[in-house]
Amino acid sequence: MFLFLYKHNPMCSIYTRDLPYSFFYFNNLLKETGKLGCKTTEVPIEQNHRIENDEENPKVEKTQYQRLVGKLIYLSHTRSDIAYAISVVSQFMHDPRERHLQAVNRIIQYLKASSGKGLLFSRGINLSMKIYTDADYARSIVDRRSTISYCMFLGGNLVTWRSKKQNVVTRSSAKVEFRAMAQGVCELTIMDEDHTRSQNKI
Amino acid sequence: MKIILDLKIKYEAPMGLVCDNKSTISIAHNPVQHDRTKHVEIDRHFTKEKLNNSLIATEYIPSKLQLADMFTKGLPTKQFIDLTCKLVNDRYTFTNLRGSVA
Repeated sequence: MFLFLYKHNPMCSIYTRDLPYSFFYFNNLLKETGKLGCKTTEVPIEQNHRIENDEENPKVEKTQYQRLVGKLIYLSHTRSDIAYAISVVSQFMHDPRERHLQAVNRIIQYLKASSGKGLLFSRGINLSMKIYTDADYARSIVDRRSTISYCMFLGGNLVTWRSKKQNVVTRSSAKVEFRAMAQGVCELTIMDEDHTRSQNKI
Repeated sequence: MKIILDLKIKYEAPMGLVCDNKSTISIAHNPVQHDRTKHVEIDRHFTKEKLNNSLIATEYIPSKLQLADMFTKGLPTKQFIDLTCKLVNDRYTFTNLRGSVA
């Protein structure tokens, strides 16, 4: 994936915020879905949401839902704040219901309210690497699987992030936290494999 | 891979590994094998090895300031706004304007 960056000011800060393409992309999305005049919200997904496979809920058109979520996934490459919400709605691509479409609409409402936001890459004093790891034990009410996440900062700038629902059911919360930690370490070592190798030689 | 080397970035070791769970941090540091943590053995050895090589250093952070929180669950509005502000740039800290004047 290529990230087109826009130079923000002569202080060598790069801001993806004013990215003209991303702006037009989202505007087109709003036009296409006829949501130019929709309400706005401050968070992309509600707290303690209970989004699940609901058989009784009326069905919505599958291809339209998939197209919409696909577009949002593309947007999430530069918008880290909607990463979790996108991961939730994309779990229902095979059988979308009215409730799931509501969640998608909420993300669109949030994006409309915060269309100016983006990632800031600024020049710092040092280049320290830091990774935040976290896990949420058995959150999914569909199958009680846990979610792990990490986000990595290089010199105070966000570079990579991930939000992933686990493939297996975990029985202990400490285990899931530890898995998240190990995943985080993995991410760090991928970034700098050579450093580990030279350390091992000594 | 060696992304960092390819980009010719010189960074400061060790890299910080921030976690809001104290028991996880102590499991990572503890050399004694616990039966109850056997099922995470591979992950533990992996993390422990990196700790021993001083490639990483663990750090505790209270859940409130845990940035990775917003990637695992839906948050209340205030916390979400706080965290997104901090996510834009890690150097910014939370400001509390309600403090008393000494």
